Amino acid sequence: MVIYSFKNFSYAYYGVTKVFENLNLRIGSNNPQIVAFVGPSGSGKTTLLSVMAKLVEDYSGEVLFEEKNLKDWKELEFRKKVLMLLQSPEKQLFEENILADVLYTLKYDNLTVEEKMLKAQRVLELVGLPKDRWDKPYYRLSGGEARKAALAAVLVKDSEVLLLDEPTSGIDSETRQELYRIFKNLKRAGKSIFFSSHDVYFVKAVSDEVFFVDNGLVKPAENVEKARYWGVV
Amino acid sequence: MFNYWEADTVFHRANPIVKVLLTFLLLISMFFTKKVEVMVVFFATFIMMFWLADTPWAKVKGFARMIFWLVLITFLLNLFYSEEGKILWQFWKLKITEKGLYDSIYFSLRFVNLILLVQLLLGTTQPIDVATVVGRVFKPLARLFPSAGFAEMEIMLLLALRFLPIFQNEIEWLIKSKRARGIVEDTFTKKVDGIVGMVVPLLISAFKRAEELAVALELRGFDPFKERTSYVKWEFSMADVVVILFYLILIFAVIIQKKMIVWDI
Ligand SMILES: Nc1ncnc2c1ncn2[C@@H]1O[C@H](COP(=O)(O)OP(=O)(O)OP(=O)(O)O)[C@@H](O)[C@H]1O
Ligand SMILES: [Mg+2]
Repeated sequence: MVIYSFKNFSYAYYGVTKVFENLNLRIGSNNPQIVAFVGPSGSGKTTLLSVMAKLVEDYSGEVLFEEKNLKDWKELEFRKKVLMLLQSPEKQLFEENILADVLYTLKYDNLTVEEKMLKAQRVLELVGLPKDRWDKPYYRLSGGEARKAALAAVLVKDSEVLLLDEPTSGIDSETRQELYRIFKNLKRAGKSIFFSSHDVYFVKAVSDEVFFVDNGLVKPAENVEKARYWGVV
Repeated sequence: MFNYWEADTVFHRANPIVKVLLTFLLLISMFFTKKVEVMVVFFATFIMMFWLADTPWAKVKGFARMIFWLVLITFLLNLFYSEEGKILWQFWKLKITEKGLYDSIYFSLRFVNLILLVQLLLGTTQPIDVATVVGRVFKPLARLFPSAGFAEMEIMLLLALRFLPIFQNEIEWLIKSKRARGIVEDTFTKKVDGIVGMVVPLLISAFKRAEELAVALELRGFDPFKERTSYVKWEFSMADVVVILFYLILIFAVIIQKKMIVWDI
């Protein structure tokens, strides 16, 4: 059961820049699900995902995760369940090279060095990063490569819920197809994915449910293509 | 820490020259008094000014906490320092005297006031304006001593003011990134390890930024020795009168208190 419920949820950055106003909404379901958030730049997708990831907490109203108030969740408990991919990879990565960075995620996990290494290598292969890039620091990678690396750094841990902020931006069509397969496999493995994207075709192909984020509201989308027509995406 | 915040208040609208000069004056005048009462007046006035300047309290919470600890250290360091006055409390060689208590309250308050004063200026004045004003003040000096590097000082000050918040932002992102990846530093050793681990990425990003900035400045043909122009017209307005009044009241508070001491003698 992965469900977020928003009750009278409002958010403004430093109480000044209003992003959401009085939102009442349920997102998610009892079964693994792929949920997409679409909307114009600056509409609040990143903000929404950050709230869902318990990284932003100075909102008003309530957000429940699995029927329990997000603010009541213990940090350790919550982080075991929910991971987030940040929008810009350079904000997510910081170790001296990509492999070390992926291993960093497993830093405090109860695994042997070999087990960690195996996991890291497997996930780097999964996202399609060739071996010769593994020893490079993130700032010597291309934008798309850095995004793959950041994704790997999140996927290496087995969490039930994945919040991915624009996993599709700046990647080539081959990787996009790869990402589609990854999404479907993760879902099959019982994980729920909530992601934001400007890639309407990808969203349409992969998502079970789509929400529009715009003008301080989050609404279920009946028709993604129409939204595209209206220029929302 | 020392962030600028967007708002439309008299303090934001006031002329940067006025604000910088008054801040400087007040800064000096603060060292001319040793009275706790005056410091309390300063503190109360500053809080009022912050309130009028639409301070985003949520944003300064972290900064306030940091200051609190620094003030506590200042207080404790001064508390046992003095030998003069009536002894209030004594334990072996450690003693608190009346004067020690008074002084430590005074020094703590002055410390807080100094920080508030600087924060008020930097919170309501764009870094570029502060740097330009300071640059103008330094200009005659730069002419007199061309090799002393006063010309570069303006751009250095600008960069420092501009980058301090960015640096802080970088730290916040590193912490966020770790949490997003499910890394929980819940024990003391993990916390220390986490802080040490942030040093290298911070340095890397600072160097990377410096590199990008150097390229950007070069591309725009920047020359620190050329006369800088500004697109902002600085005129005297009602806002300046209000701000000047606030600062003058405080400077008068110091002067009056000084006078009273003279009369005492
Ligand atoms: N740190 C911040 N401080 C102040 N305002 C912010 C901050 N981050 C975002 N905002 C504002 O909040 C609003 C929502 O931003 P958000 O990043 O959530 O949008 P988004 O939908 O993710 O956009 P994009 O598609 O460009 O990623 C924007 O108007 C933005 O200007
Ligand atoms: Mg975003």
